[in-house]
Amino acid sequence: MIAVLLGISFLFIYMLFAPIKPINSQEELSKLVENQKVSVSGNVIAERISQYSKTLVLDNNISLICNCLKTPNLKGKSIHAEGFVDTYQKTQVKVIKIGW
Amino acid sequence: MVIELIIALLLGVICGTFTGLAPGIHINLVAAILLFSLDKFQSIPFIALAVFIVAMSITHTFIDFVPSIFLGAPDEDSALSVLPGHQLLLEGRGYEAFILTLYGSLFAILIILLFSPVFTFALPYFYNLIKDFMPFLLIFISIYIILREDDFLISFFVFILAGFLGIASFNTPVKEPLLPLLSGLFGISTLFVSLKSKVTPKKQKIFPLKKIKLEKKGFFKSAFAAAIFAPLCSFLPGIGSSHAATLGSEFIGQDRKGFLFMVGACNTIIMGLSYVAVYAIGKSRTGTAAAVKSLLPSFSQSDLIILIGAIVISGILSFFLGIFVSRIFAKFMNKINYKYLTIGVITVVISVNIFFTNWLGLIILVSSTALGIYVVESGSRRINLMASLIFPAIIYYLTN
Repeated sequence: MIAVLLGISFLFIYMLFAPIKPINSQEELSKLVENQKVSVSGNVIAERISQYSKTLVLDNNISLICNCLKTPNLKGKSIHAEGFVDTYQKTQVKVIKIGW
Repeated sequence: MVIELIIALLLGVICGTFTGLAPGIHINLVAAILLFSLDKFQSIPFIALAVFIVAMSITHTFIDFVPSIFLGAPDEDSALSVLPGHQLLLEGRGYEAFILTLYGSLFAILIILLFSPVFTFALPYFYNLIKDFMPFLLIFISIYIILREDDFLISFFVFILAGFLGIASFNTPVKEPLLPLLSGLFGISTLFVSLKSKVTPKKQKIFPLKKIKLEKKGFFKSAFAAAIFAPLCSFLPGIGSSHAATLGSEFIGQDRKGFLFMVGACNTIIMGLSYVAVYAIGKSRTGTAAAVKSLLPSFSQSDLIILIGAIVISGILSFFLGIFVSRIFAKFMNKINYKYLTIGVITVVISVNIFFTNWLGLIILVSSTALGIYVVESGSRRINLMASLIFPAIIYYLTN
C-alpha cells in the first residue's frame, strides 16, 4: 500500500510541477511524449476558429490548440504560450497559458 | 485489391495470435506502431490496413485467454476470467476453461452480425439521447460496482486509488501509458500472487471438444447476458468487457463455466461492435477502433461491410487456431515447472515495459503492480481496478 501511495503522490507532484521544455520547431515537438509540458514563442501566421477552440499556426510551423475564443484576432501577432504536447490527429500544443 | 485484403487479414490473424499469446503486448501498441509508420505503407490501400487491424484485434480477443488462464497473465479484457479460469487450471481443466471462452467468442461473431444493422441505424439516435448523461451514467455504474461488494469501504478505497493512478498515468508524459498501467494492475500482480501462493496446477487434461459443453439452461443464460450487456457497454467510454460480464453475471446468475463463456463472448462482441460504433456515431471506444478511424476518415458503408467480413472470417480462423494453440499450452503446462514459468513471464512483461515505456512508465508499473496485489490480498474484486479507465473518462466528460 505504501508503494501505491508513494507512486501516485510522486506522479501527481510530477504532473503539477514538471519542468517546462522550450521548443522552437515542429520537429522538436514531434520527438516529445504526449503530455510533456512545453513553452513556445512565435508569430501567428494563421488562425482558425471552431466551435469550442481556436487553432493557431506559428511561423515555426507549430500548431496550438487553445480554448481562448474570447481573445482578439492574434494573426500577425507575436505570442508566447505554455501547454502540453497533444497527439490527437497530429502533434500539436494544447495551450494552458497564452500571452501576446 | 482482394488479394491485398486477404493478405492483410491473414497477417492480422497471425499478429493477433502473437499479441494474444504474449503477455504485455497489446493490440493498441501494434496499431499505434502501424499508424506511426504509416508513411512506409503508402502503397497499401488504407482499407487493407484497417482489415489487418480488425483481424488482429478479433483474433486477439479469441487468443488472449490463453495467457490469462494458463499463465495468470491477463490483459484488461480477459482480467475477470483469471479467477474461474485459474481455479479450473488448478483442477487440471485449463484447456476446458479456455475452450469455453472460445465458444463464447465464436457465439459473439453471430451477435456482431445480428447487431451491426441495428447499431448502424439505432445507435446515432440512442447515443444522442444519452451523451449528455454520459458522466452520470459512468458515475452510476461506478457506484453500483462499489456498493455491491461486502466491504464497500475497501472497494471505494481501491476504486479511488485506481482512479487517481489512471489520471496520473494519462496526464504525465508517459510513453504508452496503458502498457505499464494494465500489465501492473492485472498481469504482474496476479503472477506475484500466484508465485507467493505456491500452488501448482494438476496435470492438464485435454478433453474432446464434444465433451466440453454448457448445459442448455446455462448456455441460454450466458448467451442472453452477453447479448444484452456487451452491446450496451460497447459504446460507453471506459466501460469494457469486464464490466459487461460483471453486469451480466449480476443480473443473470451463472456458474463458472457459464461465466467463462460469457466473458469470452463479451470480449469479442465489444471489440467487433466498436468498429460499427465508429461508423454509426464516429466515436472510437477501443484503441484499435481509434486507429481504424484515423485510417478511414470517410468511413463508408462498403468499408463497414468489408470490416464485418474480416470480423467473421478472422473469428472462424481464430476459433480453430485457438484450439490448436491451447492444446500446445496444455501439454506444455504438464512438462514445465510452473514456478519457473511464472518467473519467466514476469521477466518478459517487465522487459517489454522497459523497452516500450519510459522511467515514468516504470513508476506506474510499480504502483499498479502494488495496487493489483493489494486488491487480491484485501479480497476486493478486480473490477474496481477498472476505475483507472473510468475515472479519467468521467473527469474528461465533466470538464469538456
